[in-house]
Amino acid sequence: MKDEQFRKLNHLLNRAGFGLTPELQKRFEKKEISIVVEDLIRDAAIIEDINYIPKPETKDNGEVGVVKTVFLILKSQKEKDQLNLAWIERMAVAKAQLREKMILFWHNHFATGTSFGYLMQVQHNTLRHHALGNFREMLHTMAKDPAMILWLNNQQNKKNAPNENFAREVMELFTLGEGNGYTEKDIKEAARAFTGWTVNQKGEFEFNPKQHDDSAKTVFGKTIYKGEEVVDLLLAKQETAQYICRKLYRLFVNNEVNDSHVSELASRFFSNNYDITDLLRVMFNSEWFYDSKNFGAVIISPVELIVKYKKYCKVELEDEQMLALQHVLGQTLFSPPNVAGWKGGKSWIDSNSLIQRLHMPRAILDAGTARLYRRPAFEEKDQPKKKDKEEKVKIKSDWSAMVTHFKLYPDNELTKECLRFLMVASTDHINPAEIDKLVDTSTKERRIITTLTTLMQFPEFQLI
Amino acid sequence: MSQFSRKDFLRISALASATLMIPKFLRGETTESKSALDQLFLPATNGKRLIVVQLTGGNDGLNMVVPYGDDVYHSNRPTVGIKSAQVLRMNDYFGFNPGMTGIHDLYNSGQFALLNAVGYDNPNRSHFRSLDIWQSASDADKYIQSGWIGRWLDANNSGAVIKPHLAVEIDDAMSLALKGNNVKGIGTRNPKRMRLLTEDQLLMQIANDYKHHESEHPLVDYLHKSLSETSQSASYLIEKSRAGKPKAIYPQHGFGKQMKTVAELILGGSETVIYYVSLPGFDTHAGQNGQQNRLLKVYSEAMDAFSKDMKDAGLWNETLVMTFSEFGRRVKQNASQGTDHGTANVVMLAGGSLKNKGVLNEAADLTNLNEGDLIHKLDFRQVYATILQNWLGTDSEIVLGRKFGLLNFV
Repeated sequence: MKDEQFRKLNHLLNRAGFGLTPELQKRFEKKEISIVVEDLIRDAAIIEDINYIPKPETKDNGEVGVVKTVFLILKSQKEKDQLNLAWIERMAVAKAQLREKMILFWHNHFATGTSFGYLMQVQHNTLRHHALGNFREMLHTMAKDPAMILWLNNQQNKKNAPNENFAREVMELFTLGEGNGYTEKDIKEAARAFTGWTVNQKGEFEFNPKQHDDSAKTVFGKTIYKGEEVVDLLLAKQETAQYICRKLYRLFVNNEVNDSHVSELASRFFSNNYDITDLLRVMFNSEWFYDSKNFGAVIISPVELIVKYKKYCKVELEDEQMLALQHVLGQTLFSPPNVAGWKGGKSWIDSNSLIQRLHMPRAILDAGTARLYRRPAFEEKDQPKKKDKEEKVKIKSDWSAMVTHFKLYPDNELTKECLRFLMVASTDHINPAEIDKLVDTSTKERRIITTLTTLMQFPEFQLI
Repeated sequence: MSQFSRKDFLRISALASATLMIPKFLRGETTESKSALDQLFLPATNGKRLIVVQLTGGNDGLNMVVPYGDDVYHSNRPTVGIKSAQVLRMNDYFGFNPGMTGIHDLYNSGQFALLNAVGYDNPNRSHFRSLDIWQSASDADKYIQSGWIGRWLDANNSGAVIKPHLAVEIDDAMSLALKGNNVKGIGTRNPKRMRLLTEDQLLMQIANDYKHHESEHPLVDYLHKSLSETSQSASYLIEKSRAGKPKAIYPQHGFGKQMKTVAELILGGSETVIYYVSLPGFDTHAGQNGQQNRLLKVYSEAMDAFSKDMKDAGLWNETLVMTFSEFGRRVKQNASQGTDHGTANVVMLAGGSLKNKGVLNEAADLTNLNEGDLIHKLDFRQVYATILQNWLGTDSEIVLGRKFGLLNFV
């Protein structure tokens, strides 16, 4: 396969999924890129809910009850952890790679971390359904999402004491972007339109007419009454399409934005009534998407990196260590830092996270690593007294798929082949001849594995 | 990538001795008064240092610095409240939680100051969000994705050599507080842990090979540069923590260990200016007294040990400790022998050269409440601004985005 074509495929799979695998290489290497795009979109049509957390038991009237609610909050962190681990596994094995990737995008966009595990699962499945559908429908649904309502205090948004939190964030973070085409007055008026949008004791959205302010409101100069009208007004603004496309571009194309490309995407998104799949198809088929300056122009997010490792070598960690790893790398699913989500880009990199990222291949190779800790919860009891000795954790891995794939290459071509498989950014720093001096040549299998892990320790591997 | 001398280092690296792995430019000069690393990092600061202690979970300030002289306190907390006879008296109104003898000593000897009713407008009662607000120093309705200490790093790292280790958090992950827009601090539970990097020959080789090229792919350059800076800071901090030998006895607890690590770095001569440590477990909705008293005892013992080590080395006058929590707790106790999330809280300061000591402002009003919670009288950013401006000598407006009225503790 020609290098140029291979790089394009590698780039596309990094962005539309979680990267190249031996299996995907075999499947796509002889296909036109436009055909690959269609295949990926077709694969992504599968929608399979995650139903890990059972619906909480309710009283006869279907309500949870106050005591139970407290109990649910208490066990919620554990449930969120389980949901987290289940989703990581799903991302690693799902055929619908593009859907998983887009759910991750929307989880960051509608960044919610409320303390009800079950409601987070409900929201997650909502995103699952709408991830490649229509943003208009998604926004209307998310505005009534129970976890979102709790997260942004719309429970407290009442006729006589409006709470502006949701109204502010829906404009600032979900549609228009900060300070972009709205005023403080618009927020105040919109907040009144969302009064009475609550969550009931069954954990469902409920419109409470008693708490709703049904007088007229003026938002963007128009007279409206209902919350749904605010959502429609936001969608009627081209700035919304512009804002979403800009965000998408930063994650899927290049962290440095090209305004004309974003405008091109935005006008398509807007005129095509917010069809997400259509937008992605246009983006993945556009010539500039494959501009070489976009190769490796994104620092891989922690979750994508973990999923990539799972795909390469079926990495397995203790549950607590998998969660601690996310914590140390700076991205724990279902626990975004705040409603603005993870900032991404260069902010992924700090001294700890960088050391951890670059150490991972070594840890996998050595089948063990130093134990990581999550910052203890607010409620946690005193930490147990521990000896100063560093505890070790076992890591399991299985490189067989990679070994099978790369053993076809003779020793003198192996490093180059691994290099182009693993990396899309410029690899000028890396001299294959020098790498060969570092690897374990005792067997072909060891040679392949140590070549891969050595290359994966280079910072370039962090770029997709 | 350039010459590797050892063909099979993957296998031998685990066995190699530490000296072999310290990059060349760091070796062989330890007999001189200043090591090669010290020469690389010329001091850029005024010699003062700050330790920020975060009591995570919403520490109940009213049971820590107890307004025992106020009947309203006792009537709101018939069983959770601390009895007047038990407190360590500060004056006729305030007394410390009985576990805090070390802090009481500091208070009695003029090395402690208390700020009452510190908070912010539109207080948020979520742990996450309120921590976010304290760490980013933002208004309650703004989302700032950098931290105040990180922005201090930005302001103090304009030169050619970037020094992330000017701010160090003792933890496996790094808080938002230390993340600047351009420079981020170092986070490490124990500098020894950074040997994952410094003892990895391949990574150190890559780090040492770094040279900036204009034509380089910007992110490749960024990552290589970050690795190079991190490796230098890691080597530096490992060296300093090894050299520092605290003598005091720290409590057997994660927090005691953190404070001991801070003392090691300071006594070892690290030029780190800001240290960040945290003690979690203060979310005392139920069975508050046992839990909180125990934690405060650990806190006080660790502070006692730390201040002794600093005094012993003659460094206490250049040291300031600021202790805060993301919020205080409701004045009225709840039905399960605990207290719920509140708002304004006390901030404690300790150090050898406080300008004003003792109780610095009026106690929080226990009668005039907002939804059962204390109303703040000082904005927490006034505390930050004072420290930045008067202690660290940095323009607080650059770091905080606007001017805040300065206080007079330093």
